[in-house]
Amino acid sequence: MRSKQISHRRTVRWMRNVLLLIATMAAISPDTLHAQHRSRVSLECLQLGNQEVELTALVRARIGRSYVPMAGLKVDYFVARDSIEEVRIGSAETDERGFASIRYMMDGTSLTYAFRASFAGNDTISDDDATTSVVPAVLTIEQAEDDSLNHQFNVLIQGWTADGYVPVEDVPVEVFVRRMLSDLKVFTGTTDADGRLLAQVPGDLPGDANETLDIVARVTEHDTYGSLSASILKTPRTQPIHHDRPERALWTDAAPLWMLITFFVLMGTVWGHYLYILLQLVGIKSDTRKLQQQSVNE
Amino acid sequence: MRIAESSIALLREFAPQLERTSLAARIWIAFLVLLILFGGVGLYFQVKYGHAVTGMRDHVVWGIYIANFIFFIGISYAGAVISGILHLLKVEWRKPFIRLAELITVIATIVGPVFILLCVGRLDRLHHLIIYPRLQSPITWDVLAISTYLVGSILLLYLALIRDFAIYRDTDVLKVAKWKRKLYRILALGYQDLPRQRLRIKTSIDLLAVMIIPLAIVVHSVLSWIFGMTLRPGWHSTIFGPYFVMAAIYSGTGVLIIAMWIFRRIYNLQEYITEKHFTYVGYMLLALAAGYGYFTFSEYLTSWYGSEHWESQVLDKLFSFSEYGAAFLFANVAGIILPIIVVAVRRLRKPGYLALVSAIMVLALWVKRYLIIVPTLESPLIPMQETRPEYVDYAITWVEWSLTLGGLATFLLLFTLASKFVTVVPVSEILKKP
Repeated sequence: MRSKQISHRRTVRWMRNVLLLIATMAAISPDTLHAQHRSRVSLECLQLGNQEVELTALVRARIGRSYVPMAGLKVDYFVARDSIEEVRIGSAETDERGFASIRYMMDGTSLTYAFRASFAGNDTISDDDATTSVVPAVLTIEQAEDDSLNHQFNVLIQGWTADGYVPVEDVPVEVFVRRMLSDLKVFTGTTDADGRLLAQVPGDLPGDANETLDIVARVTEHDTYGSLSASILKTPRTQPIHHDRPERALWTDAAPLWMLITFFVLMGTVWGHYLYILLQLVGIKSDTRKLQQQSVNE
Repeated sequence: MRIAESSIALLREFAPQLERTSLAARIWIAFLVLLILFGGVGLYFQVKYGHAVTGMRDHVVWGIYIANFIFFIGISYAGAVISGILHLLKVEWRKPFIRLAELITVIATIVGPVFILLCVGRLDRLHHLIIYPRLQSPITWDVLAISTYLVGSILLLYLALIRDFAIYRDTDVLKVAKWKRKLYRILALGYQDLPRQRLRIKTSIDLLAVMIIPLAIVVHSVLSWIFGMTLRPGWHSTIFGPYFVMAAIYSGTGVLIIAMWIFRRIYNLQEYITEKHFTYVGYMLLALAAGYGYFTFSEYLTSWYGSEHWESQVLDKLFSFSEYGAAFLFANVAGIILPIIVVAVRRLRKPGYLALVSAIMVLALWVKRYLIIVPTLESPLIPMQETRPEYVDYAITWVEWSLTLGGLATFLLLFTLASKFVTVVPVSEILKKP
C-alpha cells in the first residue's frame, strides 16, 4: 500500500515537472530569443518623364541567415538639390513585400538631386538609410516604321544640363514586352551620339489579353540618371492563342482512362480484401455471441 | 477461453513488463517527451515565421524532412516484408521477434508522413490533395499507397494481437489497471479460440501476408518515382524503384536487429530471442547488403561512365571531400561494407556486434537518403546567378534538427508505450519449453 502511495506521489511529481517545463517553454517569446534585428534599406529612383520621379525604398531585416522584407514600417524621404540643404519630402509605409514608394516632382532648377530614404528603426529593428542621386533626364519611345520581321521603335534619351535637355550618348537601354508573370526582355542596345536608339521587337509576338503589346524601354540604375522608363502600346501582328482546355477533373474526357481503370482495379482489389478482413473481425465477435446464445439455450 | 499452460507460463514472465513502469523507463519516457517538446518549440517557430527558419530555399526545396520521411517509410519494411515473407514460408523462428517487426512497421508508417506535412508550405491547402487529386502525379500515388499500406499494416498487427488480447483478458496472472483490462476486453473482440474464429484469423493473416509484400514494394517504388520521374541528375534512373525497395528492406532489417537486441536485454528475452535468431536475421542483412551494394554500384557506375555534364555535376559533389565526399564515403563503407564484414566473420556474428553494426548502417542509410536529395537540388539545370550563397547551399537549421529529433523521439516513445501495452513476444504463438 505504502509503496503504491510513494509511486503515486512520484508520478504526480513527475507530471508536475513536465508541466513546469511546458510552461517555461511556452513563456519564451521570439523577442526574448532574438536581439534587435539588423535592417537594410535600399533606394531606387525611377524617372517617369515630365520631371517626375518615383522613389522606391526596400526595407529588409536580418532574420536568421536571410534578409526578409518587412511590412508596415515608415520610411522618410529627403532631397538635397545641388548645394541646398536636405529637406524632407514625404514618407510612406512599406507594403507586404517591403517596398515603400512616393512620387516627387523635380522643379527643373537644379542639375542634381540627391535623395535619401531613411528608416528610423524601432524596438526590434535597427535604423538604416540609403541614398541615390540623379541628374534629371527624359526617356521617350516612339513608333518607327516596321520592317517585315520586326516592330521598330525610336528611343531617345535626353539629360538635363545648364543649357536645357541635351541628347545623351552611350546609355544602355533595355526593351521589354509586358507579359503576365514578368516582363520579357526582347532588345538591348546603347544610345548613339544623338541620344537615339532603334529598338527592334520581334513581329510575331502575340499580344496580351487586351490584344495589345505593351512595349517598355528602360534604363536601369544608370550612374548619372538613375532608372528611366517609358512605354508605348502597339497592336500585335499575331493574336493571342486561345487554348480550349477541357476542365481538369477525373470525370471529364481529359482524364487518363487507362490510369483510372488500373487505379480502380488495384485499389478496389486491395480495399476489397480489407473489407473482407473487417467482416472476418466482425465475424469473430458474432461467433462468440452465437456461442453464448447457444449455451443460454442449452 | 481455455488458455494453454505454455501461454500462462510465458505471460507470467512478461507480466512485469505490462504491469509496472520502472524508474529507468520513466526517465527514458521523460527524456523522449522532452525531445518531443523541443520539436514542438521548433514547430512553433516554423509555423510562426514560415519555412524561412529552415534551410530550404528556392533551389533546395527538399531537405532533411524528406530524408526523414524516406528513412521512416524505409524502416517500416521491417514488419511488412519480413513478417509477410516469413509467414508465407511458415518459418517458425520468426515468431519471437515478429511482433517487434510489425510494431516497427505501424509506428514508422505513422511517424514518417508527418515529415511530409512539416515540409509542405501551405498546410491550409492539404485537403486539395483529396478534393483535386491529379492521378498523373506521383505525389497523389504516394498519398494513396502509404495510406493503404498503413491500414494493411495496422490490420496485420491487430490480427496477430487478437489472441494475445484474449489471453490478457482472461488470465489472472496479469495485474494491470482496470482501464487496460477493459481495453484488452474490447480489443479481443470476444475471441474464444473457437475453430471458426481461428480459421477467420488464419485466413485474414494469410491474405494480408500475401498482400502486404506487393503493397510494401509499391509504396517504396512510388516513393522512388517521386524522384525517378523527375528529369534531374541523380534522380532520373530506371533502377530507382528496386533500389529504394532494397534499401528499405535493408534498413528495416537493421532497425529490427537493434530492436531485438534492446528488448532482449531490457526484458531478459535471451530464452526466446536467441543468438540463432540474430544469426538468421544477420544472414538476411548480409544478403540485403550485397544486393543494396550492387544497386549502389550500378547507379553510380552508369552515371559516371555516361559523363553527362549535368550528372557529372552531382557526382563531382559526391566525390569531392570539400563537399559531400566524407558523407558519401561513410554512407557506402558503413552502409554496405561494414555489415558484410561483421556478418561474414563468424567471430563477429554476435548479437552485440550485429546490433552495433546495424545502428551504424541505419545511420549510414539515413545519410544516403540525405545525399540522394540535397546534392541533386544543389545542381539545377539553369545556373544560379546573382543568388545569395545561403540560397544555393542547403544547411540544416536548429528548427529542422529539433523536429527531426522530435520525430525520432515520437517513434521511440510510441514503441516504448506499445511495449507497455502488449508483450513484445506473442504469448499465444510461442510454446514455452518445459
